[in-house]
Amino acid sequence: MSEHASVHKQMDWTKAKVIAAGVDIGAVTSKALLLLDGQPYASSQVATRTPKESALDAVNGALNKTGLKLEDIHYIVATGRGSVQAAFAHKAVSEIACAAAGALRVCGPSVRTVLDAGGQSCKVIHCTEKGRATAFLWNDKCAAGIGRSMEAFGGLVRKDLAETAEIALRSDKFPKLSDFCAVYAQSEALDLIRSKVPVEELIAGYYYAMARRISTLVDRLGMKKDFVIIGGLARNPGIVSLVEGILKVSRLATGPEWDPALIPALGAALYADGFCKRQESDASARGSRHN
Amino acid sequence: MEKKGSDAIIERFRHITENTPEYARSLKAKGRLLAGYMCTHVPEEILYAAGIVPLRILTSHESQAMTRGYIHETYCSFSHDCAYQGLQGNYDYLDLVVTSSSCIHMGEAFNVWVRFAGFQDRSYLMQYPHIIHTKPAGGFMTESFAQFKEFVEKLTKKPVTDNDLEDAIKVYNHNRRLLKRLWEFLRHDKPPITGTEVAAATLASQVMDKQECNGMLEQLIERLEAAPGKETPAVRLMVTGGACDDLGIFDLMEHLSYDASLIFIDSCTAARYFWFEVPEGRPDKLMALAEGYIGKIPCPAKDTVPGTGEKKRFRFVQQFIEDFKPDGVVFLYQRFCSPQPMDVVALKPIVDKLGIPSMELELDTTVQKAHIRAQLDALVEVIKGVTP
Repeated sequence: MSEHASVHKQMDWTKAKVIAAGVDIGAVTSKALLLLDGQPYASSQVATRTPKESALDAVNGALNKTGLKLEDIHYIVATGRGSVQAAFAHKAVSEIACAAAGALRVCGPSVRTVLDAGGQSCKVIHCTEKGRATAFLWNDKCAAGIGRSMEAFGGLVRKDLAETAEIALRSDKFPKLSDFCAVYAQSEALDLIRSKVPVEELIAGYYYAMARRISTLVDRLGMKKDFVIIGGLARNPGIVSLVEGILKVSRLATGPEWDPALIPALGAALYADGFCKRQESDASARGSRHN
Repeated sequence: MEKKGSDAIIERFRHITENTPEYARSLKAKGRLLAGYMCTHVPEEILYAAGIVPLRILTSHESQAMTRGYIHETYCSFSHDCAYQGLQGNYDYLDLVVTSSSCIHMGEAFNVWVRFAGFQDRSYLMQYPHIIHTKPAGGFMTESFAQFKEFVEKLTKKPVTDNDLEDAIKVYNHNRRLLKRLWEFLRHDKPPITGTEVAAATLASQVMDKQECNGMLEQLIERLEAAPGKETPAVRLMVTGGACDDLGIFDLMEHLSYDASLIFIDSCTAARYFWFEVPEGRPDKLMALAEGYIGKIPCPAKDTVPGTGEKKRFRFVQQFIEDFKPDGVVFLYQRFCSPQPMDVVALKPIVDKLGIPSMELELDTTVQKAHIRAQLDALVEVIKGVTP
């Protein structure tokens, strides 16, 4: 994956009352996002090496080119698999709550079902118009339908993810492969290679199997419209299109200005912003009681 | 520092649960006969009446790759782990291993012990009716229990009298009542004991000499009744599902990022083990045992009412929810167990209807604690209605 950072240079952090940050330490990538008074200001993504270091790398990546230092941030919320290792964070909030909050902020209050398809896990979340998660379902221990299994498959057919996604999108033949287990599916794919099935069909078959696996998770929790897909796998048009087709639903798009992988970090930053404001209002209430 | 009072008793229960071989060998040194059982459908009373101490075979939470040559991969991790321990010789002090034809997966673990772990001549597979909610089930069980009693008598070379059976029934019923009282502390707003501690005592009772266990439970309850309650966290979690002897999972539930307490466990390693009684004073002791075991909270593998699809366990679960008032329910099951997750499909809508948030948690021989913690944290956030 590419490591990158971006900053809205037209915004001035010195004028911000609240500087909040969200850090999402995922299994494959770590993401950080800064908010100035609730508005997105800077972000970064780095590959996760050790959670502790990567969390800091992600925040530093976002701070880079802003002139801000870690201690200038008023409140930091960590989320994701490695959140407990982000010692610099003020609080940890679950991926479920952050994904719901972030998705609502990006796609609007009509969102009721969020599919967060990441590198190591896949989650389906129901939420209210205020971004409160009300129910969720997590994938089981199997790797089928998660980002890592797609990367591993790319290695098997010696193509990068973008290429496989493009092939899956234009294919209309989907040989049947296991949607139960990523390892079984890849073994079956090898068998098809030996049987001289064209690699394009093989890729399409694997994508279809993984999309079916993901869709089952959504089906089990129940589809409530509007529906949105976030997380790293949401960048894969092949998976997104097949999931929409299997579920017979069109998702709300996150828009070109948003990388869907950053949305849980945005949710974490929104929590940080909220906690900071509540902390300040509690402090001022205490102050007025003493006066 | 040495602990005193109820803490010392709780620590002893936990020690026995986590160091069962040490405890079992101490019984063996006193000349006691020991029988391992693999399923709670085995009527321990018959063994106890014959002077044998029944000990439940529990898991080691170690990797079990070596069992894959003996049991198919898609059998549950609990059965793999139990088979693994037989192959490792971890239970070599047992004089007998028993199971009932109830859980197919544990049946295979039993077969591994019999065929490959040296238990050929010291094993017993008890027949158990597949569908227990039928009229013929009682007669079938009575006959099966009689055959088991005969086997035990041959093993010990002495008859098991009706008096022996009645005494055993009384000891076991007393144990069940004491465990029930212990769990009922968790109904209170300020219980003097935690859910994990109660779970530890319940697990210990499954591997202990019942009279010794009863003595410890009596002392513990007496002390807890006199103890001031502890302020418990607002979020009350209930577990329902399959076998789980990993106290670390329950510890985790009580040490999340948010304050939460474990207030009930409906599983065969917790409430389903003891939440029933065998009628006392009946002329036919084996029939009384059959009646008691039929009246148990059913294991999902046995819970089918012919022609209706009704699940009797759900009535108990609803009652537990009413009595223990959980804020959230965790459906816990072992990877590759079939009956437990199948029950979730029907049970979840009932819990949803009661307005109680829930989540599924799948266990394996080894588990990623950080992953489980993240899911439990998310459930507590749903319960608390956390918003940005």
